[in-house]
Amino acid sequence: MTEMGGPNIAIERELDSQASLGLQENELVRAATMREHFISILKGSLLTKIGLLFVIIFVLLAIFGPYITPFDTTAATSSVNEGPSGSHIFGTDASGFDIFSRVLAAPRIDVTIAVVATLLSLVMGSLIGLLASFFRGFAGELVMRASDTVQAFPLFVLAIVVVVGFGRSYAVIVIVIALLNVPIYLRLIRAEVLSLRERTFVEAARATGDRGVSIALRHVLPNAMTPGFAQASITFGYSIIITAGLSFIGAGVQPPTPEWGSMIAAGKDGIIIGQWWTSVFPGLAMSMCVFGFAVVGEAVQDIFLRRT
Amino acid sequence: MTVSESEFLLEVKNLDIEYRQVGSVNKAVNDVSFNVKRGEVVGIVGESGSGKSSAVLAILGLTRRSGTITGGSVTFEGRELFNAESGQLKGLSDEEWRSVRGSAVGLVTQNPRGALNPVMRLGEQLITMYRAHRDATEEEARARAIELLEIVGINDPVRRLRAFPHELSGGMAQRVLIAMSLACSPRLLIADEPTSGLDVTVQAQVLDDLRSAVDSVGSSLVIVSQNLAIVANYCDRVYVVHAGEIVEEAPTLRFFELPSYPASAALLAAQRGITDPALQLTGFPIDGRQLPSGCYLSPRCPFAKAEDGCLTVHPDFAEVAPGHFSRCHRTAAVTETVRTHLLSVEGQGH
Amino acid sequence: MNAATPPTTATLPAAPVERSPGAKRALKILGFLFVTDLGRFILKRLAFIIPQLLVVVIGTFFLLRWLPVDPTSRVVGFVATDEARAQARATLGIDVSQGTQLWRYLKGLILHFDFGTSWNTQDHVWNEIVQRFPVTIQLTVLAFILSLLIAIPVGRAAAAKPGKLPDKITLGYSLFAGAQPDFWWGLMFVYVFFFLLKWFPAPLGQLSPEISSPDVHTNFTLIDALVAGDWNAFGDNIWHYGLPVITLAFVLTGPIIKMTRQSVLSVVNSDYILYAKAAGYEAKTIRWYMLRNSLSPVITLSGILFGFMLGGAVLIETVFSLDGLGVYALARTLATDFPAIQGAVVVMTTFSLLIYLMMDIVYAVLDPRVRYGGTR
Repeated sequence: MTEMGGPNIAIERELDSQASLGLQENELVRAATMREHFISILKGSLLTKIGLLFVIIFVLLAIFGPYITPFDTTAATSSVNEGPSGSHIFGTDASGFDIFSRVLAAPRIDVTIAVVATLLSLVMGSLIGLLASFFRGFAGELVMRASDTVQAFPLFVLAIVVVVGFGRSYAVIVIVIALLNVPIYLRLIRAEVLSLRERTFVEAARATGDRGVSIALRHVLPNAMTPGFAQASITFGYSIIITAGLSFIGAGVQPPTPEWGSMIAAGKDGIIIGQWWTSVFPGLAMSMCVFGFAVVGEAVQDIFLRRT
Repeated sequence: MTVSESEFLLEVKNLDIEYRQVGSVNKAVNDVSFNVKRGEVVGIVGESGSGKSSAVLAILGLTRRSGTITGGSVTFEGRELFNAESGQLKGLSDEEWRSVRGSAVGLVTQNPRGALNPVMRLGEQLITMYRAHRDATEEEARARAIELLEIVGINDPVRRLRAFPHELSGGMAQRVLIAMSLACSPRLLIADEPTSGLDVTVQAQVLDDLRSAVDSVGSSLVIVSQNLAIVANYCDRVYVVHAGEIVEEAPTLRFFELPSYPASAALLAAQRGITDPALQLTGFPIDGRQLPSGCYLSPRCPFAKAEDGCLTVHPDFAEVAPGHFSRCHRTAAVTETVRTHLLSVEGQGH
Repeated sequence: MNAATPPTTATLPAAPVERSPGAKRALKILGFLFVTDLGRFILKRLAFIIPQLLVVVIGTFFLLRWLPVDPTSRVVGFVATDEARAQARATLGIDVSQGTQLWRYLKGLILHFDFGTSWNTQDHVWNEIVQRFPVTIQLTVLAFILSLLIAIPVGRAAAAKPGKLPDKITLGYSLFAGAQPDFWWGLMFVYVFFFLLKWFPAPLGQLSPEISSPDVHTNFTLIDALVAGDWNAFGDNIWHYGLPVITLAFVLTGPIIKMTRQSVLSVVNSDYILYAKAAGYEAKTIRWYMLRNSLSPVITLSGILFGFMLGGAVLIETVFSLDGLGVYALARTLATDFPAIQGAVVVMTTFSLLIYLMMDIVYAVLDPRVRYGGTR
């Protein structure tokens, strides 16, 4: 190594000074990317647009569906088990109900239950997750093992037991579904809180005198819930499937209330003799709705996690 | 093939690398040429995104995801590793590459903990590296692993063999990576930002360990960095990279005395805390997908002048002094400003 | 010691003890368990299983008794004299305190492996479970085998050319399939593949009526048929499981493909794979690294999905008239048959826990980092 003439540069001083322009550049680039990502998702793939369309359709139906039904959803007509026709475009079922009307009215039940259950599980899961994050080491391990144990239960079976036991009311269904989803949010929020706790803005808050709980609620939690929000759309879809599943086997919403699951069940025995319409249409609607929520949820996750 | 008597250990000529993403092509490396002599330590400096990492990775014929080598050639010890001049990449077979990669040419990258396999213990990785290129027994390889860890300044090497990468501090992981790259005594070691991401206090240590390890093995060294201090203290010659091009080449001494490229002068000024706008670049780093006409630095350059062709004519890489090259239309103005602003403030040092 | 002073008898090691081969093997296993990291990890997880199981049993027990249902109504009807009710409570064994009930239940369970007697059928619950659980397991296992066989190669192929059209289609499919109601798709498949195309039999159970079930050994019809060499029954059983398995596999492939693709992509683009290439490793070594590192998350996911599938089996069993544990649990729930419900839930949960344990062990083999007590 040749002898250095010229200015003698002390390494410590140089390394301290941010001589490399690169550092500033990174900060700027990152901010742009998040916004860019958001727009690109919106403009983005065909899939996302379709999903968004479905979500909007079914949310609208949830609100306005029951008002635009051509027939009364629980009025038995004389045409029983008739296939799609001019007056009954989706046909009628074994009780003579018009399936098209019921398909339009059903989202109100399913979507409402899903929305309430998701919000409930998000809030409960976040609070429990926040609480759980205070347990580290062995206690933390214990908490996660407990959560694992809960996940090992055949949750759907338990849901059946509880819903039947408490009398199949909407409230019970909502609470059960919410409880089913809590472990997911618990894990997500706890992990996020644990990683956020190390970040500087918590130090800053503490330096200005905030106490632990206050820090937790005002600074950490709102940020920690970000992955939770990203997960919410997926939970919507999942909740709808559970509601329908419970109703399908008779442990959920009871007929004659129009609900996708019980409508599919009503047509179950007809399938093997070729009466397809009773089960196909409600299921198709449900499939589209849940798919929409899943796709939108995926896109939201992409934004929040900034994946390419 | 016999090793020829070329004066250069490594010659990179006219290297072009592109990154293709949906809808855009990023010319990350444009017609880059540099070389390394036996026993030399060469520094490659540039801001992030300037293409220097891509360029040195290409020495091994590798690119990161979605990158392609679209032009140029690399010759090592007189033997052509690859040639993409005709638009087609022709080079060594996989078998032949394996005798170069890791064996004749070693690589140390940034993010050392990421470069090590997270699920394998260090000992296993070092042994695998050694036995990939040398016919050795497990015991021999293990002994070599311990020896290597000692060379890079890790104490208690026997215990460290059983550690996982995530258990190491940044500095320790980087040392392990250096050890791995030196396992087969390569003739050339490429260190890509070997100290970024490390604590300031650890950086100097790691570099010293790197330097002494390289010396003990007798390799030549290419150090890629954003950090002028490293270059000043360890390198014989400096290349400056900007927007995928080599824009200055000089012996280190000369470079720090009288940089002849605006960005180099700006770097030096910033480093010494001089905020004179005459020596500062404006704006943001150039986007490789939209290269400006004329000189690539012109949108940001305090010296840019239309009359001298800065905005319209792409400058050639020209010799401004013996062994000192610069890609600039206005080197005279640059050196003049450097003399008056940089040197008068700081004095000659020693 | 040096050559000048030969060792005295006192310092010579004793002659080695002769052990039987069985004892040798046992010692080897014990050595493995206590000395190696993997062994200790397995021990730790096993240690947790016992309390987990206890929690499961006790939890289920009290969950049922917390429900606002009166099991005696089944026996004596909704309108009955107090006497009759008290009698019924005695018969069912719920006249004593819940603590005593639990104690009796646990005693029976742990000492005699007795899950009690069904309040419905007076049959031993364990017998009933043993007849039905294999159906559910056969369904779930076959579905998993099919899904993994399809999903992992597809996921890897998609990851090989990310962003291109086949990848986009695969991603779309996986998003779609993973968010679908399996019971409805089961019905759709029945309509298309049975009613319209007649490729599969009617959804009326696991064997055609004219085929007699093979001699019962394991209650797994497929295995029993194999053992008895009864190819008729074997083929017929597979044919009947066709649609339910395809339905479940359809839904399972969604998340598995997605996870495989994600995992493979992140490994392939990782710094350490790039470094392995730069280090001049053999292609097959690099491929092994990629495989090994990308498989772990897929395995964990599969374990979790298995648990979900067990719980949701009742839906598919209903659609295809399979007499599995899912419909058993449902029917007995509607009939307020506590011992049966308890038995079913405990058995299903225990099985899931064992599956999780196996997955964790495989994971620990692939990724040694978790052997040191890291939470996943």
